[in-house]
Amino acid sequence: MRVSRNELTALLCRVFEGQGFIDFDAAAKQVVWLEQCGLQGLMRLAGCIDFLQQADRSPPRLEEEPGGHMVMDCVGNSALALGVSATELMYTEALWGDATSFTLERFRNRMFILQPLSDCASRGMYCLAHWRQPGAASVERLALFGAGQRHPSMQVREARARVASESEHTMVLMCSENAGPLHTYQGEQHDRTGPVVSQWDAEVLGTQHKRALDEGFEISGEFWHGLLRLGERVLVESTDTSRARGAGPAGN
Amino acid sequence: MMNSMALQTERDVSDIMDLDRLGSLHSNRLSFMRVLLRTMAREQWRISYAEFDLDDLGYGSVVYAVDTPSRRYSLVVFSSELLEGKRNDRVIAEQWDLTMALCEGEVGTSRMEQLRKNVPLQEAGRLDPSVLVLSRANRSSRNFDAVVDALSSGHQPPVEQLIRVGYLYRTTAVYGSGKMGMADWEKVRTQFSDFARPFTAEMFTCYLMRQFSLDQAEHIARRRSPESAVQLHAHIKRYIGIGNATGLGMAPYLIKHPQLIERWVTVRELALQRVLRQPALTETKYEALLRDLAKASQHISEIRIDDLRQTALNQKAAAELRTLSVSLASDGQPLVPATLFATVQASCSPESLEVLTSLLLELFPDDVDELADQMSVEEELKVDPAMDTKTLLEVIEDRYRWALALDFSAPGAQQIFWYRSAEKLEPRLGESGVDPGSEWEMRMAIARSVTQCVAALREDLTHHPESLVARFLFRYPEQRPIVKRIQSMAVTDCCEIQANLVDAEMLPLHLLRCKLAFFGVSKFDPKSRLWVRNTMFQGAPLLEELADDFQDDWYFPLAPSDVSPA
Repeated sequence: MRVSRNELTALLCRVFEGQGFIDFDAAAKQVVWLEQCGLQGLMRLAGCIDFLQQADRSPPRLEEEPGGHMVMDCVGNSALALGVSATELMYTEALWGDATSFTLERFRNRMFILQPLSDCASRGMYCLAHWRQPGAASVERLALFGAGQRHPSMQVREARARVASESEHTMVLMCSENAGPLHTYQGEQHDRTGPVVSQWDAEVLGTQHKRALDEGFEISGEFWHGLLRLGERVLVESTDTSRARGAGPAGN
Repeated sequence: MMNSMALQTERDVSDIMDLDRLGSLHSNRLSFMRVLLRTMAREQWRISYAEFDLDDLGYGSVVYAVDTPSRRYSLVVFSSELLEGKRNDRVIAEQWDLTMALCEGEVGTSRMEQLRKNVPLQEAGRLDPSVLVLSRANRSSRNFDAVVDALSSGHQPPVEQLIRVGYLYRTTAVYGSGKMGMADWEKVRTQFSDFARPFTAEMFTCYLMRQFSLDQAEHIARRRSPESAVQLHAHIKRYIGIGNATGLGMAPYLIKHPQLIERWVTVRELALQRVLRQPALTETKYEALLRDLAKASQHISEIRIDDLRQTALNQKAAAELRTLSVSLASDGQPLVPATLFATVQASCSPESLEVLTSLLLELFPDDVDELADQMSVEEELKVDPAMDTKTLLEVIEDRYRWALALDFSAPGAQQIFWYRSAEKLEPRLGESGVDPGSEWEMRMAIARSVTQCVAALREDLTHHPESLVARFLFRYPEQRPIVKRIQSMAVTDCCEIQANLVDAEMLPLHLLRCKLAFFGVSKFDPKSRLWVRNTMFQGAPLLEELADDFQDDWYFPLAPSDVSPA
């Protein structure tokens, strides 16, 4: 079935509110943004919705190291819950220094960081996200935002070297008012020897963004109805009393 | 994004944004209906039947073809028989007399069948992004039957009945902005220039709904008595608007879209300031104002409603305006708008002052009308993470002083809560400690959240005197939604609607009237503190009158006195 951005966003707000998210608007926006760019926000949400229902959201721990580097132990929190806060911390640090790098550990659903990162870039920052996926077909992903850009250029490569299993929930973010530090990081940390699995440039993602607005979003009826059921948690059961007193009598 | 319009006003923002004041607003020449009709007339929109398939009783379907300079649209109307007991104005209703959809382009056979399957279902149906608006309406049975009976017997309907209820149908919901799979507002705004202003497509749908109601009534009368039936007199036809029933569901919109509402209020205030800077009125404008005051007074006197509170307010306003009109006529002194405004502000009720505001705007269309283009705003609430927390506290103490002055320990100050019912998501009010559902309270208690945020900020500042908002929100994540709102709204001119929306004494009705006044409705008829009936497009030029000799003078419409055959 096909749904509009507005109704998808409204439903996801109810879903995330029902899951106890404080900033449920932001979480909904993160999913919708990814979907609108063609980066499978809904499929990714379907993949983690059970986890989100079970996750206890213990507060993360922030450590600061010399040289503009920060480390956050996200204690298993999702990027849907912590992504905005993490990018804001990184942004404010970068305003005072040359660049900030931020390692997020035990950080789940990492792809959803891209929308908050887009907001950070729109404030005039160059931004980077780099993460690895261990497994039989290990890959590493790199997303780069130009300063002021809404959409990143992205690349997924097969990882040549073994990817440690603890990398599964680790992500490195960078933010700077200059492109230089990000290029330096790429040169040092990003293995560009593996074959490219997939890549997108910012323009393609922007075009997809507009197309989704024109045509709406395709979503399976089953998943949509599953989301509807999850969103029902925030709805209060109707009674004869609430029907009569809560919103006015039926008019004729 | 530009947040501020650099409004320069001597009026206190706390007066402008006071909820009681906003609940006294009247429509004006910046209201969306007025702007729509001016646009339609100026651009010569052409509207014709693409299909007219109604049976003798008026059931069937009609398609209006709408040609603007930029493109074609279609309004598809389905009319079905509805048993009396099924007629319900609440959002929880499941059947209606009329259902309709405004669509992009022409409607071919297969698309018509899709619409026929889905539009009558309303919220239970599915549409696609080529549809801009979905709506429905219920018949005012007494009025409709009286009009058809009169016309079919060769007479005009009794005007007195139309004074009581000035419409044949009441719309009970008008959906746009991507609901049920329709086009998102951003698409409408960026790709359909005809409807790029807020709620224009929705208002246009209501305007054509009024046209349909007139067409249908005449059609039934003609079919019933082909020999004797007459058409409605043009003056009566003009006087028939389209009814509207608005309930609590509209109220959360105003709180969830603070930037948009702030913009509307600010633009109206900007228009008023332009007028208040004018020198003494010319003789022509002076006479026009006298005429308009008398007309507005009579219009208010003609309102027949049951609500005692609103009736008392109307009676007071009608009397004050009448007195003002007589006093100005006998005065003969040069009339400076700012002086007049100050006098009325000091001596008359808020209702009268708001009527005067609307009338003053009428006198200076060249200064006012261009502001209609400023009614849109790109809405996005954003945190400014680099602001330091001391500054944030100062901002709150300055812009949200009204909220901090509220006493939430006072009896009744937190007595109600807003929630969404499982029944069609209808927003409802519950009583704290009595009704279930408070754990899923909607975020309507802005003032209370602000005071809680200030407490958290003060606590944080004792431990972290030099800190940024990003750090504060890391430590106090529960404050994020309100900080986002505060920082976004503090940079606007008028900021927030100033009220404790969980107070037992709060009148949700004020929120509804505020928004409806910007739409351009008239004759507010409160049915309780939670919902209101009103009339849209009453007195508005008919379709054929838009084409030539359009008169933009249909504010505060009066009952027709001359309805003799032309």
